[in-house]
Parts: sequence; structure tokens; C-alpha cells
Amino acid sequence: MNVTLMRAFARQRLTSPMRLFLLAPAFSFPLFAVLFMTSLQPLQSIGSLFAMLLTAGAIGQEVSSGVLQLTFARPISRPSYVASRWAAATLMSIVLVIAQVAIGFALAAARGGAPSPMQALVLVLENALLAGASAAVFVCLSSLVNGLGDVAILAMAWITLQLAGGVASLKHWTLAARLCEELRHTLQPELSLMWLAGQGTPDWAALLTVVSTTVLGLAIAIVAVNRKELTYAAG
Amino acid sequence: MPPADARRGDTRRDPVLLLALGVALLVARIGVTTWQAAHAPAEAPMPAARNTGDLVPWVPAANAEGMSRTSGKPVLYEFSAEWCGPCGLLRDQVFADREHAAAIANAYVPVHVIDRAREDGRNNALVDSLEREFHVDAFPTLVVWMPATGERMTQRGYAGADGTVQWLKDAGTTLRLHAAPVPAPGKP
Repeated sequence: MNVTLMRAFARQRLTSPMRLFLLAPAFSFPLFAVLFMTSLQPLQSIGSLFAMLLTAGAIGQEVSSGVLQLTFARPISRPSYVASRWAAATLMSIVLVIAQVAIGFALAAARGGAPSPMQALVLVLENALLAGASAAVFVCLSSLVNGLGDVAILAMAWITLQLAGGVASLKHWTLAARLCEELRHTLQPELSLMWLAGQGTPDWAALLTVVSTTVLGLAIAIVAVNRKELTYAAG
Repeated sequence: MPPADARRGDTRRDPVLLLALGVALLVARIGVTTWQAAHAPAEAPMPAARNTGDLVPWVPAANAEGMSRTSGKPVLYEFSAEWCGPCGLLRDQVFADREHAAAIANAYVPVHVIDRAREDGRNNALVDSLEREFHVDAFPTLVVWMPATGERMTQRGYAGADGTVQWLKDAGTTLRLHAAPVPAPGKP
């Protein structure tokens, strides 16, 4: 991991007006919902959204703009470059999640519906893991296509899987429906760790989905970037 | 420009270990998912009623539609979850109140639907189908449904005791009015 690359990525993302424009409602709207519902429930899975907004185009936009050629003119290892982008996006998402959960907790407490501090901590942990997995998915997709093509791929894949899953369910094709659901969970992981707060039993399949998605997403992204041939004449 | 990585050598080394770990985790995930599907918990019947001071005479979800068609009362579904704080407030401030509980029992066929997805990883088929049917994505959610007309009204979240009781009154009245047969011309 390269700290300078991480800092540069964080600076680039946090000075992008469009990203800030999208991050502002993603941060504030769920807090309004917390105020209305007196529960931290609207903050579930919010880490994925932050990671998506911060990671979209993480590598593809660098390729399109020609910045990657300049970056790799220095003896920087490509795995380190990919890992730095993922780590920076994940860390920024976690910071946003912590701030949002803290504010949400205070708002819920003020209205008399605060969950236990342990539940709030578990919520942060859930969102941190989801942010890591979602960032890995976007880094992976972004290493395969230029610009913001990763967002288009994800949207198309999600719609296709929803439709295919719906058809499979209607036709009672159990295996196909299950496959669509698993692929959808890979692209958009879901996780509950409330068993850590003494509620329910562990869902190991969901936990393994998140961890395997993170590891495989990063590994595929590194392999893809390793195979990119970048020249100044590439246009 | 960023500084060069301290470790010299191949800058395009493939992450063999990471790939192997990823594949191992993927295999583990498939194995666990398959095992969980094969050992899915038996479909436990939903509780018709619950304790902790709740005075509403909840009826089993499977009987609700028939009871509604017989009595002409709309069905009131209350979707909640154990971990949901506002659901507890709704129970304590509305369902545990003798007057409000009697009003609900008088106006509705009440059904309590508890979501166990967080605790058990999945819900039983009946809860799943009800949540899909009524587009439930938050707790508590109150749905008033008139099977005879298919009309429904939904309140997401807890709007306080007064707000909830008022909403229940309005929703019941509206749906019953819409379901009432229109008198023939010239008849009272």
C-alpha cells in the first residue's frame, strides 16, 4: 500500500464537486429518516453507498484521462496502486459511516429511541465490511472498463439479475433463482452482524460472501491492471 | 508524483496468494450456502399473539383474509422486528393501551408479522411473501388491506401514539367507505 497514493486519491475524491453533491444527500437524508423513525435502521448498508460514490471510476477514469500512464512512469507496483485506491475509498467510507452513525445515535437518543451502544458499534462494523466489499467490486469493474463504465456495468448486471431472478422464481427454477440471488449478493453484498449484539444466530454464508467478494474483487482488479498496456499513443 | 515503492523488482507481480485465498473463500461460501439451504429451519408458524403487555387479539396470518371477507373488516398487518426500537414504542404506547387495543380489535382483523431475517438469516415463506406483497422495507410498517377491493394503505415508521391511532381511524374508515356497496338510485 502506498500512503501518498492513498492521500492523493482521497484529495481527488473530496474535491470533486459532483461526488460531494452526491455524498451530501447520501449522508444527510438517512439522518432525516432516523429522526422520523427514531431508529438507526435507515443507516443499514449505507457503507456500500458511500463506497460506491467514492470508488466509481477509481481506475477507469485514470486510464481515460491519461493519468495512469504518468503515474506508472514512476516505479510504482501495480498491485500497490490498486490496493491503495481500494484502501483509501474504504477508509473514507468508514469515516463517513462513523460520523453518520454517531449523529444518528444522538438524534435517536434525543427522541427517546436510541439503540444500545453495542448495536451502534455492530452497525459501524457491518457498514465497514460492506464498504470494503463494495469498494472492491467497483475497483474490480473499474479496472476492466474506462471512464465510469463500472457504474453502467453494475447497473446493467443488477437489472439483468433482478429480471432473470424474477423469471426463475415465477417458473420455479430453483437453481437459477438461487444463482441470480448469489450473483446479486456478490455485486451488492448484504450483511447482518447483530448476532454480535446477542440477537439471532450468525449468518456465515453472508459473512463469507462479503469477505470472498472483497478478496476476489481486489485480486481480479490487480490481475487486470497488471495486464493493461499503457502507452502515450494509446489515445 | 508519488514516491517509488520501497520494494524493487517486478511491478506487475500477480497476486497468486490473494487469488488462491479468494477462490478458497468462494468455495467455502458455496459450501456453507449449500449446507444452509439443505438445513434450513423448519417453517415455524407465526405467532398469532405476543406477550409483554400487548392487548391486541392478533390472529394468524393464514386466517386473516377469510376472517376479513366474513366480517367485512379490513386486515391490519403490523410488520415489526425484535431488534426494532420504534416497534417496541408502538407496542407499549398503542397495542398495550386497553382503549386503543379494543378499537383496533373492533375495526380490524389484526395480524402481527415479525421479521426474523436479521436473527435467522432468512424469514419463513409466509413472512417473505407478505413483505414482498406489501413492499415492506422498514419497521414498523402498518398496512391496512381490504381483501374484497384489494385497496390498501400503508404507514412506514412510528408516527407517535396519537399519529398512529389517528391514521388507523382514517385508514379503516376510508377503506370501509370504498368497500361499501353503492345504493341503487331511488333507494335510501
